[in-house]
Parts: sequence; structure tokens; C-alpha cells
Amino acid sequence: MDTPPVIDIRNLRHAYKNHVAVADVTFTVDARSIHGFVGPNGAGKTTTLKVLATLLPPQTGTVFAFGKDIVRERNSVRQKIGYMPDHFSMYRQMTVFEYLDFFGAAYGMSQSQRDKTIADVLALTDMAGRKDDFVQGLSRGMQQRVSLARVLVHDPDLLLLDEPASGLDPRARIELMEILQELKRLGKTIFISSHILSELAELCDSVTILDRGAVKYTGTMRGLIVGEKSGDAFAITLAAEHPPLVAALTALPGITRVQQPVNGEARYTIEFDPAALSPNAILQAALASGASITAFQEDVKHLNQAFMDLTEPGVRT
Amino acid sequence: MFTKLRPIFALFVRSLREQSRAKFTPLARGSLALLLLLFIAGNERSFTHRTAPGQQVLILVVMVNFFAIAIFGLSTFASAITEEKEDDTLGLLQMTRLNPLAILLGKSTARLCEGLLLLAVQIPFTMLCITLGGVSMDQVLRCFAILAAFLFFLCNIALLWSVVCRRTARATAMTVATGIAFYVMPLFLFSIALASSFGGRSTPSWIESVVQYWIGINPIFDLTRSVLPRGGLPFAADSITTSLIGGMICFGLAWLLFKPCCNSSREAIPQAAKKSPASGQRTPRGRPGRRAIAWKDFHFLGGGKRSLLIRAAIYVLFALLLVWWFATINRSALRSREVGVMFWVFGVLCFSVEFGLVSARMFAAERKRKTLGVLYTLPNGTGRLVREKILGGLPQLLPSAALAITGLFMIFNKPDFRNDLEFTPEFAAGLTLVISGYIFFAVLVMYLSLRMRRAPFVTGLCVVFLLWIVIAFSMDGLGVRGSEVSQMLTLSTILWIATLILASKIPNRIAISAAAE
Repeated sequence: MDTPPVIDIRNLRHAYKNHVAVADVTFTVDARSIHGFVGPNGAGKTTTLKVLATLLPPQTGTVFAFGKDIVRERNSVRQKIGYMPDHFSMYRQMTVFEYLDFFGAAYGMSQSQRDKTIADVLALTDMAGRKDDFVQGLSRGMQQRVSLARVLVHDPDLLLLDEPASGLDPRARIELMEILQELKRLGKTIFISSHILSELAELCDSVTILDRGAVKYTGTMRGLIVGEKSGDAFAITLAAEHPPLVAALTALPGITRVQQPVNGEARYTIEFDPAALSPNAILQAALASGASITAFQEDVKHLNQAFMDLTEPGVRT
Repeated sequence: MFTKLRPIFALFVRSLREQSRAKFTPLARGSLALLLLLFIAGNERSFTHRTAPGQQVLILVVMVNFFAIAIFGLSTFASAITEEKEDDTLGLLQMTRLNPLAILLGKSTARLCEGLLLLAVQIPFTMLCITLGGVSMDQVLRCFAILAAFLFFLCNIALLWSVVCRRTARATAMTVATGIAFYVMPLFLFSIALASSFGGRSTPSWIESVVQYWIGINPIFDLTRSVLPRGGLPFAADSITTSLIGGMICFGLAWLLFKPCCNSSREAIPQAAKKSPASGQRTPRGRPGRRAIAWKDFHFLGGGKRSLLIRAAIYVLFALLLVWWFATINRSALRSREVGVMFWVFGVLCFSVEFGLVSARMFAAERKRKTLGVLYTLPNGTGRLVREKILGGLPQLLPSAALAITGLFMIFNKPDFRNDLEFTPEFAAGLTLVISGYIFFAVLVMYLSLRMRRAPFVTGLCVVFLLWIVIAFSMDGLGVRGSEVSQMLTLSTILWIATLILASKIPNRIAISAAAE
């Protein structure tokens, strides 16, 4: 039996007075996956996240988390989610331990439960050595870790992270991504927003691209970069153009299309039915035709190109 | 030349532009105009059998303005620079072409202009006092000049402390302390000196002249002298000159101290982590329990037990000073009942101020730190959030409440007083009205703190004052007659209805504020 989606958003619409932030947004997120939520600035990501975090009620449409309506069963949903906004929500006069202890207690955890969980989350976020430091003295990266620890303290099943890597240096970003991978291994579902698609490429299992309040793509990361093709596609790059290659390839069974070089670059794109033909056979046929091959690889779009193709240029008005 | 001056006035012009777009400015001006019209309309019946009805209205107008300036000034000007320090944005301002003078002008003088305009808008209406009789145009203009000079002085004292202090609360406290030292302490000294001279000892003449000078420069006395029908006083009253010179000195000091005091602020400079008590050692704050938000507010918003003890000590010290002053000017030891009355009055005054401040800070602090959203998403419901916030704030009222109760105990600790105490319907109705008023004020300030970023406490005071006048005027106009008891109960009912309406809107405002972070 299929596991029901952790997040199920249908026809969500939210407007601030006359400005429609999100319109008719529909997508789902599978359990125990990392789902990227990407879009340019002002696309409506934060509004959607706020709706999911029960901060904003949906004006129209339905939003379910763990099969529960987030409006009708708000408190029950809140117990299972951890929301990290795009700004630091910190009590700067508290120590790291006091901050986590306070949130643990606010979620109704007993003292012994809190002691154990706080030790775990501090170890996970590598902040155990700083637990007695005041929050106000911590660097941005460390405050981000404390924020993540706060989100984890009540052991939620779903993490909603709004631009968690913004403002972090490259090392801190990589370390944050490693923590998120570890959380996925622990069985958490992670919904992470960003305006940079390539940042999430290696991390996410699935992605939703939002632009001007509308969903432009939702599905697997692979689906985004491979595109809508009838079968698989590979690209052969040659040292120079070699016309006999096209004839040799079209003669193979299972080939659906061979795209000839454009712009003077000797790059041939071959679409084929993977059930009838293997990439090995294509390579052998190409070599047999006498072509001087410099590269043979799966034909995928660059992520940035995919993002640019899906989103509109200019600023939202 | 104008090109060179442009950076100096850039922030100032921007602030003025923002003020002209804000909703608050026309609302405040409209409210003041309404208040003046109500004063005049309220006194209309007495015009026929009074010799100087205009004077009555002018006294009301200037006194209301004086206290409004004092409260408005403290809440608005003390945050001029500290708000930038608290938001860590002062460094960014300093990185631009804005020099300290431009920042001071932009952050403070624009607010001063707003205050001056609020005064100016009243002048045409106040001129009606001349038509009503009893005052001349000179007197009206002199009163507004005194008020404007006082505003200028207060603005610059607050600006100076805003430059020196890191936090708005401290800057406000220091401005209050300076105001007390400048205006109130001489009154104590004068009364003590006067009391000494009654005992046959002569007061040294230099003390008398110094004290008389300090009284002369007090705007309250200057306003009172100006409104009196005798007239004949010079237009440039003592307080105007002193306030203007004092204000300029404070502005100059703020300018001088800007670099040394504001360069050390933490913006853009990573601060070394401070260590709390050693790992494993229990802090005096203990651990949060089931009411975690109340625990947090008690320790981190109210300052915890230490703050309670410090405040209790300060209140007791001031109350004892008051008793000593009263005993000195009366030249006799005070009886327990008299001491009790002073404790009660001082305790109630402190309680009222703290009550408003606690209500104002309850949500304002969370909004400022952008932490309301994470509290709102706790799985406890908004009702519990509000209840815990109230529970965390209540202990902060203990020192002042204890002082007031001690006073009451001292007043009624004798059998004859206890026998005299009757629980009359008037007493019950009065008590109901007072309690209703306090609760309404707390709910109103709480609601305002969720709507506005600055000065909810002061705005609450102004709204209550205005409402009070409007209700009294409406009851009179509608012909609501009857005994004092029925009038007080009617007012209590109106207050309870208003409280319930406001209270029902608070959860929605919390949700809106939490989502807007």
C-alpha cells in the first residue's frame, strides 16, 4: 500500500489585499523525503510555508499535513511540524541550553525527556560544546544551528525550513546540508525553500518550482533535468562533425530521434526506447561508424537552465 | 552650498516624508482638535456665570499638553538612536555619507517637528479662549511658546541619553531621572529650606535665590503664571530661555558623544560569546515547567527575582524619602496613618505605571525580537499563550502592589478606622469603576502593542483620556442623570463592553502579527 503524502496542498490561494501571493497551488510531498521549494524572490514561497506552518489560514483551497486539515486540526498538526522562519527567532539573553529547554517545555516535554533530546540535537548540530553560551554572542552560522536545534527539540516528523542557508558561508552551507541528509536518514520529511535551485540539487529527492504565485514544476529532481521526453536521451560529442554517424544510429532498433548538431558544435542528441536499446549499443554503433568521440553522456539540462526555462524574467509586479 | 547640506538633511527629510505618510500623524492631530472642541463644549454651560471662561479652557489645554509632552517625549525621543542600536542598523547608517549631525537631525529633530506641529495645530482652536474672555492673545502664545521650549528641552535630554545608552529602556529611565533631578528635586529642597526658616533659623539667601531660580525655570510654574489674569509678565519667560539653552547644550553633548558612544555598539562586529555559569551549574532561573512561557517572561522580560528585589528596594527607599520630606516640612513626626497614606498613594502610582508598562511590553517585546511566530505555532492555542503571558507579567507588579497594600494596612490598622470603614454602595460602585478602568486600560494597551511599533502605553493613555472626555460629554449631552452610583455603574458597563470587544480581537491580532514577521 502506498504511503499517503505528508503534505497535500490543493488549489491553495492567498492574497494580501489586491496582491495575489499564491494562486491555485497544488502539489504533494512524500514521506521521508527532502522536497525543495524553489522560486525567485517574491514567488510566494514564504506565504506557502506560512500556510503550512499554520501561521496563515488558506483563503481558498485545502492543505493537509499527515492527512489532517491544518485549519481544523491545527494543534495536532503543530505537534508534528517544526518551522524555521527565514529570520532568527531568538531570545538573545538566554543560553543555548535555556533556549532549547524553554521550547522543549513549551511543547509539553518532561524534564528528563528534554535532557535527553537536547543532548541529542546539540550533538547532531555540533553545538554541544556551546550549550552554555549566550545566544547573543554566537555567529550567524551558529545561530542557524541553534534555530535548527530548536526546530528538532520536540522531535517533529516534518521540518519546514525557510531559506535555511541564506547568509551562510560555503562551509556552513555544506555542513547544514549534511545535517539535513542525516535528518532524512532518521526518517524526517524535510520541506526546504530556497531561491537557488542548484543549492538543493544534490540534497532533494523532489522539487516544486514556483513563479509568480503559480507552480511551474512539481516532481522528481530527475524529471526536472531530463525533461519531458518519450524515452531516455544521450548526447555524443565528437571532435568534428561526422555525417555517417546519423545513418549508423538511425539504423539501430529503438532509436526514436537523432538531433543533428547546431551552432557548429559537433554534439548529437539521441532519443531512444530504453526497453529496446541500451546506451552501450549506441556507443558501439557510433565507434563503428568511425566517429572520433570526445564525450558520451546522458542528455540532461543544466539545473540553472531548467530553472530559467520555467521561470519568467523580470520582477513580479 | 545646498548640495553640501543635502547629506546632513537627507535623513531628516526622509523622516518627515515618512511621518506625512503615516496614519498616526493625522489621527493624533484630529484627536487633539477634537479634545479642544470638547473642552470648549464641555465648559459651555459655565460660560454664562463665570467671569473668565476662556481662562478655564486655556488652563485645561495647557495642562493636558504639558503632561502629554512629558509622556509623549519620553516614549518617542528616548528611542531615537537606541532603536537603531537595538536593531543593529546604526553601523549601516554610519557607513553611508551620513555624519553624526545628520543622524541626530534625522532621527530626533524630525520627531521634534512632529511634536511641534501637534502643538501648532491647536493654536487656532485655542484662540477661541480669547473670544470666550479672560485671556489675551499674548497669554495664549506665551503658553504655547513655553510648551514648545519644554518639548525642545525634553527631546534633547532624551536624545542625549539615547546616544549614551544602549537600550531604550535605560535611556528612558535616565531621561526620567534627569527630569526629576532638574524639575522635582528643587521643589523638595525649597520646601525643606522653607520649613527650616519657620523654625527661627534663617535660610541662607543664596539657597533661597538658587531655589527660586529653579522654580522660575519650571515650565509648570511658568504656565500657571502665564495663565493668571494679572498678566504683565515678559513674553520670554524664564523657562523658555532655560529650556532652549538646555536643549541646545544637550544636543551639542549628544553630537560630541555620538562617536565615542556609538562606535562601540555591536553592529557589524561579531561579539565574542559570553559564558553563562559553568556547565552543569544550576542558574538562579531554574528550569521551565508546564508554564514555560510564563517562566520565560518572568525571568527574561521582567528580570526575575533579582529585578523584583531591586525594584522593591527602590520603591521603599523613595517612599521613605517622601515620608522624611513630609515630616520635615510639617516639622513633626508622622503618625502611622499618615505614613500609610503616603505609602498607599506612592504604591498606587507606581503600580499604575508598571501595570501599563507590563501590558505594553507583553507582546511588543516578542514582536520586536520576531519571536511571536514561533510562540504562535506552539501546539497550545492562542488562549493559553495569552494566559501564560499575563501570568508571567503579574509578578512584576508585586513590589508596587505590596507597597500599596502595606499603606492600606497601616491606614486601617486601628480599631477606630476599621469601625469607620463602611462598605457603602458608592464605595462598591467606585471600586467597580476603578477595577474596570484598570482592566480596560491593560487590554487596550495590549491590543495597541499588537498594532503599533512605538509607544502603545502612551497612546493607550491618550485614548483613555480622550474616551473619558467623550463619554462624560456624551452622558451629559444625552441627559444621562441619576445618582453617582448609577453613573459609575453605567461607566463600568461601558468599559466592560469595550474590554470584551477589544479582548475578542486580540487573538486575531496575534495571528496577524505572528504571520507578518
